[in-house]
Amino acid sequence: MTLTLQHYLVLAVAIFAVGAAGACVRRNILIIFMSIQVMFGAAMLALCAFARWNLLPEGKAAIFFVIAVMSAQAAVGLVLLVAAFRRCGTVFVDEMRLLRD
Amino acid sequence: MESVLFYIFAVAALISAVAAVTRIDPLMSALWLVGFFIPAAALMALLGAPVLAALVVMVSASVAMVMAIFVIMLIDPKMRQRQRLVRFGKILGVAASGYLAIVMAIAVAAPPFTASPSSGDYFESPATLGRVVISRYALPFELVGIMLLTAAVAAVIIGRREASS
Repeated sequence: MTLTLQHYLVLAVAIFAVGAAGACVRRNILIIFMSIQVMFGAAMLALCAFARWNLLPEGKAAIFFVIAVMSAQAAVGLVLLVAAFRRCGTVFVDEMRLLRD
Repeated sequence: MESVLFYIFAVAALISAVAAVTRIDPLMSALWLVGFFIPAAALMALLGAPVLAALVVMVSASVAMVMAIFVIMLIDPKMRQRQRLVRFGKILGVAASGYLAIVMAIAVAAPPFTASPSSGDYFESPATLGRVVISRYALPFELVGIMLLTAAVAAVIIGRREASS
């Protein structure tokens, strides 16, 4: 059985949906952060599959930039998370009610 | 052979992704996330991008996870776990994601289903990627460098404790 582009795309869609569900459903900010990284991984997989099927090295360059954006997001996101934890004393997004209280 | 490897890595990636978003303890979640990025990198290597696979393992699975585990350890274990509870928002979130998945799957599941064209040395070679990034995408490359520097500076500034308070 040969692999087609759709194999990779359906896998990427499934992983992206898992990440999106995690980002919507979970209330722990650390796990929301990791769900976003799962979505990044799915996007990179889809880009890689498209680059392979169209034989475009530019697609791989795009993944290179996605990795860079992801690491910047990791650095700033984690520090923001720590700052929010220091200020609110909780990691659950539904308990962060600075504006309401 | 390639399809066997694809199915092994695909199942591994899916299982670890599901496990990463469903664990109660964020530490276990971070470890499962490392377990997600490794088969994802293997799939990229299967797609003829060995350099990117190595980069994903180095950047995502190592650096990001070291930082994540560091942050998780910083937060008190009693503060970070809570019992699961079902709410309207959760049902809505799962339903919206399932709808998204179905719509995207319909969008990508259209024919033609073709096998991959033979890639050859030009596509797979790391030199090609390097040449593309340095020549045609030189400006985005430099901008990404500036963005990473800005992110590092921002991380230091946001993360330091307030001296006055």
